[in-house]
Amino acid sequence: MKPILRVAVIGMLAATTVASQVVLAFVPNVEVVTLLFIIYAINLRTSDAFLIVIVFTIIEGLIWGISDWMIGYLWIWSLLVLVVSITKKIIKDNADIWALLAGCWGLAFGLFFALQWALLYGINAGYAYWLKGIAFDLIHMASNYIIVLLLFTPINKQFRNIYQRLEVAYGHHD
Amino acid sequence: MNKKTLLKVVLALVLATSAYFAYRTFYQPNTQDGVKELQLIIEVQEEDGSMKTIFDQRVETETEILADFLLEMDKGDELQIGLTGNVSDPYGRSLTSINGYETTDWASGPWWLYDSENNIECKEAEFCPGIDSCPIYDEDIFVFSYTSTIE
Repeated sequence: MKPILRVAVIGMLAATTVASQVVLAFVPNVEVVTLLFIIYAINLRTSDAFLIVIVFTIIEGLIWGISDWMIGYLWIWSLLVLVVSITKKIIKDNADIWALLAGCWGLAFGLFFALQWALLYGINAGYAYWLKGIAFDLIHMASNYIIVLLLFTPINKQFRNIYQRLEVAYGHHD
Repeated sequence: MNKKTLLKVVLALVLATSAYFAYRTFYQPNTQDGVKELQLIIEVQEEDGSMKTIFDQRVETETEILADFLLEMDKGDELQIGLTGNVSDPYGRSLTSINGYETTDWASGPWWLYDSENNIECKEAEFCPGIDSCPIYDEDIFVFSYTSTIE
């Protein structure tokens, strides 16, 4: 894909991800960001998916205020992209397994942030952060599982279709 | 949606709901019953950034959770307290106003924050939990600040 189109695609996908997050921000820990990053990591080059994480985090920071959670967003979403990139050849398009991964991801999300809190503010702070947020993590787990179970197949199919047409139309850059 | 998928969705909801209520049941803060004497300090940020104390009193209470203590103060007309959300929310209710100082802009503040140097829950975690999760103990000192500055 031509570099200029690649930049545009990364920007548009980051903006789509931000919009999806903002639209669902009123429901605590119910999001489609996990689903979208799974789909990006499956269909795009890993480096492009990482770039989307970076742009997404910067825009989120501009909307919600720049703070230490941005560090968490950068490494936690990048970790998801990495995990998906490594496992996508094994899991393929199996929505059940992606849903399980997304559910586990939702449950572990608070733990990941707690690890960061422990590093920045001490082990007690990290432990308390994790413990207080378990209820949120359970909501995150269930919503992630259901969202990915129901939406992965149709959205992934459409995304792949559109992306492949783009690649055919504009060709590979390298 | 086919039957198999529906079953998976229902199963996920049942599992998560059970785990949620199990967590809410078993994870309860240790409270202290009986009469407790607390020091309550309330301060608001002035335009020049300095803090002005609008309330500083020692108060006796039999409540066990900070939110209940604040509502008791509200009931006794000593303070006018505004809360939002529900006790059952993951982080409980949020403090929106005290004596007319109200948070209207949640993005940039000012917000009501609180801290305690000697409350066990705040000390152990190195930060205070939500007001519905903070047990109160005799001789606790709580400082509520209406500020746009987060330290």
